[in-house]
Amino acid sequence: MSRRIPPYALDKPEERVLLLGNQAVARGFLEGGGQVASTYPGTPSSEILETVASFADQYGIYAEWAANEMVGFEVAAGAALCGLRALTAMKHIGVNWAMDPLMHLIFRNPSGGFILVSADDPSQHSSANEQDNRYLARIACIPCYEPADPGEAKDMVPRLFEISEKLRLPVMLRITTRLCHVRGDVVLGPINKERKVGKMAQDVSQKFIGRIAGGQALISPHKILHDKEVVEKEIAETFPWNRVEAKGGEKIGVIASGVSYNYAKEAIMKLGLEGKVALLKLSTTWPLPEKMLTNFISGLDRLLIVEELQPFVELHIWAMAKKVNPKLDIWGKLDEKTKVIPREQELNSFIVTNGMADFMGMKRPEIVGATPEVRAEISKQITPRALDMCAGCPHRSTGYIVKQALKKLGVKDWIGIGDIGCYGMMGNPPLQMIDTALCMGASIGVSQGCSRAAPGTPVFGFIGDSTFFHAGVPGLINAIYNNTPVKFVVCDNGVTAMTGFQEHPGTGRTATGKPATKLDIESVVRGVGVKCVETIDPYQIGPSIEAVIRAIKFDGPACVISRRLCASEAVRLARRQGKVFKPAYVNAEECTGCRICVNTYGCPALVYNPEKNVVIIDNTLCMGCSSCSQVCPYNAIKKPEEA
Amino acid sequence: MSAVPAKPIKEFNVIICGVGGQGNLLASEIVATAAVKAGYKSRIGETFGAAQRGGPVASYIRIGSNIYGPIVNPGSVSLIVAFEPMEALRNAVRFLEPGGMVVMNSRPIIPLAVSMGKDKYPSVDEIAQLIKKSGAKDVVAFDAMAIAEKMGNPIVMNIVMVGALAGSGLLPFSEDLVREAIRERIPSALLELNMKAFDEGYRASARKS
Repeated sequence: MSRRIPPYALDKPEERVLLLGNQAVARGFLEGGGQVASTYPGTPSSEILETVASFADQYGIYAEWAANEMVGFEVAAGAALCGLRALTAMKHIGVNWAMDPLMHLIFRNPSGGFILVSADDPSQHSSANEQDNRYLARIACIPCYEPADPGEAKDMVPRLFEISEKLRLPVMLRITTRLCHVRGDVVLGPINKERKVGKMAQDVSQKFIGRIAGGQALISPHKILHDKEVVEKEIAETFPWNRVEAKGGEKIGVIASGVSYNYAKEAIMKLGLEGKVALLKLSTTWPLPEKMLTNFISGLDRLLIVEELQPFVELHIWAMAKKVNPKLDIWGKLDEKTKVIPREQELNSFIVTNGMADFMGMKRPEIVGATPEVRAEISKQITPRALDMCAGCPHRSTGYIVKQALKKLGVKDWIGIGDIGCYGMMGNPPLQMIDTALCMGASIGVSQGCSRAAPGTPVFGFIGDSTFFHAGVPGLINAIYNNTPVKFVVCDNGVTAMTGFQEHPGTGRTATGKPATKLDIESVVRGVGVKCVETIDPYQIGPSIEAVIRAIKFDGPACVISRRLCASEAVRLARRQGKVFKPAYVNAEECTGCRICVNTYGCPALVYNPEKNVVIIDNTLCMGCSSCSQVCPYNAIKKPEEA
Repeated sequence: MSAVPAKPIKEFNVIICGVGGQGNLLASEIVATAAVKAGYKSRIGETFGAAQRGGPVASYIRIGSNIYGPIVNPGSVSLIVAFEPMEALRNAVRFLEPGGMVVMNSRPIIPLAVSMGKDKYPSVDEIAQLIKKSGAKDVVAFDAMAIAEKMGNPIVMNIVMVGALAGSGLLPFSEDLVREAIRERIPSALLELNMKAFDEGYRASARKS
């Protein structure tokens, strides 16, 4: 198969191409002479490192998947401390992991440009929270930049490397889902092919500067950090992606940051307010360009601030207005009386248009077409479609096996703690194996607390392979050290599946597709002292139930490793090799229509036909794992080889 | 690539929707690449969600000089191309403009809760009626999955639907640009199959619309 060069790797300056926002960030890294990139995958950020990895060898770049975001940050930090341009990119929650090294790197004056990309997820499209990481930039006293579209993101990255090097400080590029996963037309720039060999700078190294400054230093490092803010503010004043769109003399203004600019722009057009309101497009959200903003607001009577999630910019505008225009009527989301933009969920043109209409005292635009009543009536007949594990997903079988083991033991009351991965959907009907989940790796720790709180109740921690390597091991060490009798189930599907099938320390391949040491989970868990380790194949239901029973009966912490390749990945690999999976088959004569398969196992390829009172298999979904044939009490479901 | 659009337009919105795993992203990338080739400013908002299959997914394709944001407004979409009937309805009731067009694969993917008896899934005819009730002028339904299966590979259903999109006659640029985008994006070993899928879909919707 011949592979064409993808648009983001083309060495064709001035070419206009379609790029995904995340690809645009990666292209910016290439154009900006980035040399090292390291991070852990997480939606909506994963395609940044994937893209860098795809052209890494071609352009002499080092790109890797790290065990977790903290390590990824540290690897990139090491490269920046040695003077190379480095990037780490993670979802908003990943930055929580990276906060510890970040809060120290800010005092270490890296000589190479360092960009921390925070991909926030308003509306929680694929996240457990919607935290606003602009606050984390503020806590770390680092500048924070928000592009409005893929083209800006690409062009900003090389500039941010320069700023970071000028400041000797990491900078944050804060993007959101509607930048990461937006495709837009982008004009390519020249690729920076200069490659350096790193060297620890003399003014960084303790060998030369002596004791790394702490409380006793002559000049407080905290003071140095704050002095840098003066330079940051100057940079913000002339930052090319901040601008005022106005004819002059307007009394009503709008400030919009990041992708919200697009919605504000469309709202102004939709409401016919062009030439009537002044619009300030803001891409430097920390520190703010104080002169630019005070100039803008000092002549206004009324102001609307449009930003996603928290009123971060708005709060500072209120403070600035107190000095330069105390009578300014500020609308946004901070004050209940003037709140027209929500603090939760992502924005869009529709929400911003309505908010702006309210702000202007105008009628909200009518929605054309069917009346709201008709729409409501139709909507009642729309069938919900929940996210679910795929047909053939080994996690479904794992959940089923643990549930059957408990049933066999007559246990009615148990606690299941999930983690971050597809297996979290074991909490959905019909399995309902999981009570709750927190963050990466928390299944291991939280389950131990549950076990201490409810002695005698079997407690399970379900964790995926990638999550186990990311954050599971210290918790496991804790369970061994304190002899907490939790049963850990490692759902090892051989890939970081939920974020898009990335490699990890257990896959035996690197981010750039090279062979790597393949860590095996058995050795790790035995190495930290787990005495009872049961490895099962979740497609073999019967023997697996017996193995889980042994683990449950074991007096002390035990580990079940349920190993089977992710069904989606298996299908992908097979497709690439030209192989076709044979689906399972239901013998309609033998099917009683009892629906035990649907109601206890619940694979989406099992479809009940009420007219014929039989279950049929959707051949386009089934990948022939044959688990369901082991679930049917009447042997009506035939394995693919019997079909 | 031409720098100036052949036909200036302010705003043209299309939704490509379906169920995760049906190849929605590739389809929207191909259509948008063609739009950029035609010289249009484009924005595509996509649902990546979790990578697993099974949930509703939709790509918003926006073309034109007035386009800034990646998300379509209610009642602003001219064409919905759906890989699954219920997903056609889910998007039509919210986003279709009055007199808009829906082209859909008529093969349903039944949610588990329906098989468990907890939810109901109407017939494809009923779904088509509901789509018309939400304001659609034309609803073109055909079994694109059967076409793909007949070609020996259900995976190309998405390209059959890209062909159907082009066959709708609503695209503001030539379908040859869509063919060009397919040629750029699909590995050469699979190109012939995909071009055939495109042509089949094109014919199916051009005949019916």
